[in-house]
Amino acid sequence: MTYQRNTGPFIVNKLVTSTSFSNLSFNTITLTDYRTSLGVYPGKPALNGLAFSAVTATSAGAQPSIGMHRPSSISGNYGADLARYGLGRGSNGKLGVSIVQNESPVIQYRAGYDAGDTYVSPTYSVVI
Amino acid sequence: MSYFKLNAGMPNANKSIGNLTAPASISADQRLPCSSISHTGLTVNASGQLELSANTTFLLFGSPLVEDNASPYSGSFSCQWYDVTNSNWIGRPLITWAGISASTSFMKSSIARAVIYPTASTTVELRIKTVASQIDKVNAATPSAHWPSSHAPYIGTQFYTVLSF
Repeated sequence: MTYQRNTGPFIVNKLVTSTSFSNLSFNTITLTDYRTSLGVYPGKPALNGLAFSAVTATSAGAQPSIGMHRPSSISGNYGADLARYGLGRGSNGKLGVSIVQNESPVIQYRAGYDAGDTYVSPTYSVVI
Repeated sequence: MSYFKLNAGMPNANKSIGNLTAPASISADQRLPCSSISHTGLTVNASGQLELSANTTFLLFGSPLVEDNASPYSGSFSCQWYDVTNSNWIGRPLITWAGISASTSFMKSSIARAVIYPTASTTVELRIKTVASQIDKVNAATPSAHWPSSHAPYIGTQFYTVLSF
């Protein structure tokens, strides 16, 4: 058994399989591909730290997807991301942020207009 | 078999998240006040500025939310951390554009960020750098739905974060 001390402050996980939403309610994107400085982590660890996340999406229709994300189910609700440009709102590129406390980071997201919006890689979060 | 022991973050780092409030007016050089947080080595004063202790490294992030609720629903906005004590812009700005067309959505930068290691007590603030006249709400307490009305309002909140060690 090998214990790795100070595995590095950065834990990255990302969306591997594209996710399409069928309604405009809050949806949870589970990110499963955990990477550390030693490679892919086998499992879904509970983490503590400051988490940033970003979403990439394609829109089902002509209207842009404007929903915004919350990177944590518990202590999120800070920060947001416009997956695509939004009329009258800040263009895409904003990051979500949260403090995760003994939990696996997930991203909650709600499509703004088109129920069939799809969320794709590189959707990710970083915990430091 | 090998196991990873995941440490609980950076052992010596303090991390906090706070809210941003609306500026006194939406114009250049206006402060985006930081709400109060409890963070070792840092005090939020009554004006919403951060008073940083000496000899500590601070990583500062800031992300306000802006709205343009009048036609043509398109305007630019930027903000950056500002060293009030030494009268210097620090770090890199957030730049965003509220617009629907691809030609106006390219101008973006996700978050204002700065790294500062003050050797004396230093006051910093998040400050508007440029803003188009069409931007009519910044850090609204209650975000509004926008055109077309079926579009949902922001569901996140404006924020700033501090990581120090």
